[in-house]
Amino acid sequence: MRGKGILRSVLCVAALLSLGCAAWAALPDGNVRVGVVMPTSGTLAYDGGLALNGVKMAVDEINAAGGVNGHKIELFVEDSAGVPATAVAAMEKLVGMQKVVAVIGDFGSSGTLAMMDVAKRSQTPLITPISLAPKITELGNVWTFRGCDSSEMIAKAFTKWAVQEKKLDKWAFIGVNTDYGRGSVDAFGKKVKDLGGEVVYTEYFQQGETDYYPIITKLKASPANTLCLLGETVDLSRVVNQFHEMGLQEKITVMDPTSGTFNPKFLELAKAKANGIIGASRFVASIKTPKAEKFVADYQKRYNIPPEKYAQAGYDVAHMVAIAVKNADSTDTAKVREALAKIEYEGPQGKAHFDAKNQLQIGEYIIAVKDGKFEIVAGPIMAE
Amino acid sequence: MLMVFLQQALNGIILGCIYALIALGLSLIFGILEVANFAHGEFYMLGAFMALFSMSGLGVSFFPALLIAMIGMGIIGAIIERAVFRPIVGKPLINSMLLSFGLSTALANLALLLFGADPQKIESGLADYHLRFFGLHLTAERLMVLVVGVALVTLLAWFIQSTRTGKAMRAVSQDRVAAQLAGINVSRIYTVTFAISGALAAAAGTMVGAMFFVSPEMGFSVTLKCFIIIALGGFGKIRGVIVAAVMIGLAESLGGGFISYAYKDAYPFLLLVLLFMLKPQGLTGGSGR
Repeated sequence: MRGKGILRSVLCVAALLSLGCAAWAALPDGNVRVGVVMPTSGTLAYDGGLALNGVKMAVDEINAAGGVNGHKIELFVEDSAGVPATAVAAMEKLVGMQKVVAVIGDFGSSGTLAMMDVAKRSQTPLITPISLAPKITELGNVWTFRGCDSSEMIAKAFTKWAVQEKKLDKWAFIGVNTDYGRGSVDAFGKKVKDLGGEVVYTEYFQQGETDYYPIITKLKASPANTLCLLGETVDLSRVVNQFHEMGLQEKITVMDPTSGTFNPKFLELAKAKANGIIGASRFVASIKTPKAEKFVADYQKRYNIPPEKYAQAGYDVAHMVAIAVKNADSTDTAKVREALAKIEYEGPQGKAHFDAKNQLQIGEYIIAVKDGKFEIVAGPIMAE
Repeated sequence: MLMVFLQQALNGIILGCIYALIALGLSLIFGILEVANFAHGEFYMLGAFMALFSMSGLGVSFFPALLIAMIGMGIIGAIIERAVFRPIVGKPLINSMLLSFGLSTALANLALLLFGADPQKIESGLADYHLRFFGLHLTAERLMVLVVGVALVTLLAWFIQSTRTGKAMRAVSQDRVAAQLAGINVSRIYTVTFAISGALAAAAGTMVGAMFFVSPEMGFSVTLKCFIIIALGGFGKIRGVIVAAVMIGLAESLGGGFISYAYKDAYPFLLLVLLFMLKPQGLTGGSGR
């Protein structure tokens, strides 16, 4: 009799201990704290707001479905104003005072590059949903993740499709005379040549230029069958207008791989002349997969506008962080980082995982303008 | 290659027509009032907006809008002359330079405030008609610019050469005091000069607004270019200015097409430097018109 009592009490203690152990390993009480650094003021405020829309919608979805193992996610949003120094201060505040498990941000590449050092020093995972500069994932900072494509991946997928699938082999480049324009022309030109195509014509223009007849006339006399544009909305609308005035649209396909023309202002300025311009994007609202259709419908209902790639990336990245915390079953930042690196994710954009450099591997869609809408021409195409 | 050259030359001549319209007004003001009007590009910008708003607001078509803009800017030009430039006529050139720089900034910023920075397009409805001849390519819109430009310049030349007011303008530009002694109402001539310049600038602005865009900052670079043109062509000389305007248009078009487009804004300045080195007395020589 007495022996049984002892056994029972031993069992009780063991049970209590094991419970205690379980409680110690799992998520601590309280909310899971996640930081966000996005420009919510300044010139990038509108675009940053779109990414934030996506993040907030994802978090509300997760919390409504019971949170992460029963713990709600709590967001701490800081404004980077599109300024690297402000982004660093915001990141310091999030890791130092709010003790977040991970930080989502920034928008511009220079902001993200500046925040990466804080991520490494404070050992907090940083994941950017937007920044495109290839350098971010090339620096070997294991604490930094890119939850979207890089400009390098876009260029690879785009040229692969254009040169190999569409047999567009004679390329002309018209680019803005800046680091961005000249850098992109070099990068794209090299990829075209690697794939067996030719660069037959390259011209640069000054920002704000109005008369493009001299170079369009020259383009007309060149053997080009592809015109690749690298610039901003207003300048490119003039190029496209004058390109049509010279009647070149029958002979030459217009490409805009960095999406300077895929916005409402361009469509307003170029009207029907925008038709047929081809670009690349990791996401458009017309993707027909169940996950994408549900995301588009929910987003449209919540914000009254269709989602684009910024909102999609914010949404996906917030989900990835939640899954990483769930898989790690801990708020220890090192464990969350490990779990994030191993994640197998499927969202509205498609299936995704991180490579050894913490670069998300996703496909690109080739899109074209048709009557003021963006249609999917091909994809998803993987860069490799 | 020849076709490309001819096409570039044609583009350059059309550009030159636009420059001639703006530079002639600037040159007239300089020759007759002896003031430098750095706000001339803003006349051109305001004229373009006037045409744009007559089309969107009043619903008129392109050519009536062009006329409205010319009349409107003629009146505004006259008012600006009376209110702003009249008090400083006869004072050192630096006065008018500073004053007109201020006026230019004020007008450009006022336009920015009232109309916004977004560029807008004037729809002439002619850009979709294409003409092809001898392998050259031209839209009806560009042909219209050529025709209207040549017509207005011819009209101006006739006006100055043959009408009473035109003769009086020439008299004032030669010798203000003598003209006054001969019974010419010099103040009236000043007002007429500004009105004509404003109207010509408005015509140019409207046509550029159709070919390219209308925006508040469109005026500034044009003013600078037109000062180069009148320096090349000779201050106050009509024929010289027309030749210089076409030369600058050709230099931009051919230089941009055959040398490098990225540096096309440098060619007019190079031309100016060359001219001053080779022919310091100006394109049309030292005297006569």
